[in-house]
Amino acid sequence: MWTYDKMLAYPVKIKNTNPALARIVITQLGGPDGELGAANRYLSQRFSMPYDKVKAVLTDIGTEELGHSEMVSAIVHQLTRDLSVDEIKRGGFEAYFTDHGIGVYPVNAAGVPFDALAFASKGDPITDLSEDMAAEQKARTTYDNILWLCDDPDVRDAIRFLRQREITHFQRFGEALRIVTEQLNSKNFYAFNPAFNGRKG
Amino acid sequence: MTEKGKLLTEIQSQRFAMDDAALFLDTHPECPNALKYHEERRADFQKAVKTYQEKYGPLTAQNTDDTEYWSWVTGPWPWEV
Repeated sequence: MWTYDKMLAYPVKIKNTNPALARIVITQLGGPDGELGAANRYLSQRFSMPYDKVKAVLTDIGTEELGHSEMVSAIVHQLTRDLSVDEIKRGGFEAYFTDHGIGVYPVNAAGVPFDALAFASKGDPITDLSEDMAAEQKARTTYDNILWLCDDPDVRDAIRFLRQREITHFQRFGEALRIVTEQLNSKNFYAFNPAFNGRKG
Repeated sequence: MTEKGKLLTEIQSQRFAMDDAALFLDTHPECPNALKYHEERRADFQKAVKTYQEKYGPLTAQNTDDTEYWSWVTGPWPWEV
């Protein structure tokens, strides 16, 4: 279960609205490497993970990603509050506005809604942790791309915090993968799935 | 920054340090330095939360003990500041 803390993981205080920037940042909520996919990836993968330390890593990083999806949502909200009709048109925000108004809805940078195919839960610890390490790098690259396109210091500050967390998570998942491989049966040279033994009957 | 804002920043900082140490401890559960660091941050976090909640209201619904008005509903909410 979870409880809610009435605060953000890191402060988001954006002074200037900017719907064009919101359309870009929102991909880290609803896009292929976004925080919503990250949270669901790790929290789903826990159930077939045989090792306690790695269950803890997946639980705690998954929980942190829920907080990050709230931060990205807060950025999008603050970039789009108090918009005028002219600002909506100038910022290329008409298509999003037509379907969602100024509500926050998980879409990617091209406006395509969140798809659970953005993440996997494969029931194999080595496969899953390899995906997780790649996922953290992809999210970090996406934040790098956002930083190339964003010159608002208020937004950059929050994005840089989120980018840094991807690097830390990559490190922790690397350690988790090492923990798993160290516990493999010594006859399992080729790292077959340690979560399923193919038992007959 | 207001007194309330400073206190919330302190809470967020201590909580971040705590959570980051917790992640490290997940893969290094016997590390004495990390255990000590986590305990210190947790103490500072709890102290700041206690002060904040006495002055400005609950940070979790579970810490709401109102008898006349359910102050959990009072804004601003975190994305509104």
